[in-house]
Amino acid sequence: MIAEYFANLDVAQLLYSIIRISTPLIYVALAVNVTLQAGLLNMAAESMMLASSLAGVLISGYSQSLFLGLLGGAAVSVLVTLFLCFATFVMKVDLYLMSISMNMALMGGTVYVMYLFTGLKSLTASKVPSLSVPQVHIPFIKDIPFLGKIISGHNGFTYLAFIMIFLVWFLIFKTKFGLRMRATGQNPQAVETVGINPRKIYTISFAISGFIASLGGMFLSMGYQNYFVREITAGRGFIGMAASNIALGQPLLSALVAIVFGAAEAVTQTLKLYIVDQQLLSSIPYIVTIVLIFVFSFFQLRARDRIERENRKRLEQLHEEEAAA
Amino acid sequence: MKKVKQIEFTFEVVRIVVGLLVAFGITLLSIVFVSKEPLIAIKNFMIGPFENVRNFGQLMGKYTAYILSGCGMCFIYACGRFNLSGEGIVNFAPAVPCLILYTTNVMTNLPLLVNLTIILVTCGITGGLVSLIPAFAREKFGASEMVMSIILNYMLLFVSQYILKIFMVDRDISYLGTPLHPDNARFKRFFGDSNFTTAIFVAIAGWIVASVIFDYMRVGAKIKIVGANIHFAEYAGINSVRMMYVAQFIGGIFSGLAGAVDTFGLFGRYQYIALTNIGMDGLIVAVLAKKNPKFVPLSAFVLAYIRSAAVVLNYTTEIPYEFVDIMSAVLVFFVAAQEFLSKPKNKMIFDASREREAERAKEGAKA
Repeated sequence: MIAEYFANLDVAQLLYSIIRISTPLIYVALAVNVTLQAGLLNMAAESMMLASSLAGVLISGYSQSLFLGLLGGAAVSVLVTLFLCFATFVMKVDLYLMSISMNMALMGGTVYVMYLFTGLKSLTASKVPSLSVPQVHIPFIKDIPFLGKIISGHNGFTYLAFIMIFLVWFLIFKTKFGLRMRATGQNPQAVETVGINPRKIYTISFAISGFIASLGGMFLSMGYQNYFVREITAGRGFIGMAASNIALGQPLLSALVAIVFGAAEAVTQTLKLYIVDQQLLSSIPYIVTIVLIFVFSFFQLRARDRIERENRKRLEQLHEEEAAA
Repeated sequence: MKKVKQIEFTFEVVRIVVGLLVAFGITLLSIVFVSKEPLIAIKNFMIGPFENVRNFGQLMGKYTAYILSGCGMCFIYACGRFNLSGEGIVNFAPAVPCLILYTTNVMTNLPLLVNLTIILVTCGITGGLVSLIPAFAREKFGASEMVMSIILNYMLLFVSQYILKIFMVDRDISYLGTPLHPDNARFKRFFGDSNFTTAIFVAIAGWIVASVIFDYMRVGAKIKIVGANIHFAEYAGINSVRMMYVAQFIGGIFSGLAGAVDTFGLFGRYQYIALTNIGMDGLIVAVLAKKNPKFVPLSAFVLAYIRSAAVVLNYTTEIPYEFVDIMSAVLVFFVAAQEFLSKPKNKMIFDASREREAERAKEGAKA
């Protein structure tokens, strides 16, 4: 069976679908990075994606304007995020608890809203004539034999995702706000003493995170396919979160991890034709994730230990020098 | 000091009541908004779960599982680690006794009580062990236990489906599921064939055990101290890492039991093909119970009532079931918001303290 799989494998096709499947994961991973650098874990990416993907479909469907749809989707996602911020930073609900209940609320809430608009609880396909972002065929590159098949012909969102990696990196490491964000992440009290309000930094970084996650959500309902299905995110928000967590909030690394997860998913999907045990196959991406979490955190722990040991050694040397003097 | 405690308690109650009222109000509004016959819908929502034996059985079936998973979540919550693997455990743990039941003939001729003991023990131990995986990743390698447990949930879902499909599926039915549980390996149903089963006794026993451990035993106190302030716990000589493991193990056991009562009580066969949400609802139950197992039966009943009322509403009117998800989030928001009503509360506490101070000053002057 496996031999047959490799014999029939279209490598270009597989790489193309890896990039396509990784797109929403990259968005989520980047979205989580922004808050992770500010010291908080954005667990509610799932709810942001759900909200934006339904809002995008409905608004673009009823206004027949792609731009309005995208804008509306992003705005709704940011609104959801701001409510989360209000609940956690003003009303002092535990962040994780609120994120979990928001995820649950929007999982059901999107179905409820969809039912109000379409009378259906499964999908909007036949009821809302929603628009989608077109595929982009890059001139010249699309004619290169092997590479063209992989790189060209993706959805607009996919190219934006790769630009977004750079933008998030720039935001985190090259701007004043990014510096403040990282400082808040390392020590909120210290930041407060120099007159920066950590809650403000948290809220802004969450809003940015909500915006980036909304792109991932809208890719699902306005790029990948052009309708909304219930539970459209299917846990992608959590896998993206895991990717960002493994990479400790580094944009490039987390995008790479997201692509690894995407690859696991893509290989699983192509294997489905050859292996009957769908259940076992479906669990593979998650097993890969868990193994990666263990491996990465093991190496991170070793690195931390090494730094600590070096610091201690340096301190001892200093003491000795002092004693000698 | 007693007065301050009284004020705090009153406000806790007020907060929960306000949360319930607001959530209820939102529900009524959304019913009026959607329904063509709002009065019938509201009546269905209010008394639907008690209208007939079937609906009441559904309510009690949910209630049973919620008590157990809520008690478990109280422990996990108390130790301060967000281990959410309960969700996956509810799916995975019952697969283990099912394996024993359907692939070997160990349990075929045993009496009911022995079989139930085997089921509960294997489910509990499986649950406990599984919930130690994220705990281990956290304590040993510093990985986020929450991220790990969420991914673990999805993995457990598919792995248990795989076990079901390969080892114990019943080919005679059109969906994925085991054969019907034999009578000597399931909780007996009340009222003929309702979903209200003898599993309720397991839930009651679990509740008592959880309350005793939590409030009257050293382990419970240690877990609470570790959760409140880990540095203090270390200085007081408590092995905090061990307490983390213990708390999450206990939480896992209860989640496993919740899976057991769901599979062998409410359902006639093992047939999970999606996450059940019992684990996550357990978290909500624990939050509503203010993280104390003592109040879990109350909060579990509230949630079970809301959920089964929504189910009744779903099939008697055109209102979709999903609005309860919004409702439970509203509930969590009001109950868990520390700042909600904090101003009047603080004012009352200040006033009470000032009064006391004044009284003391007077007494001092007299003396």
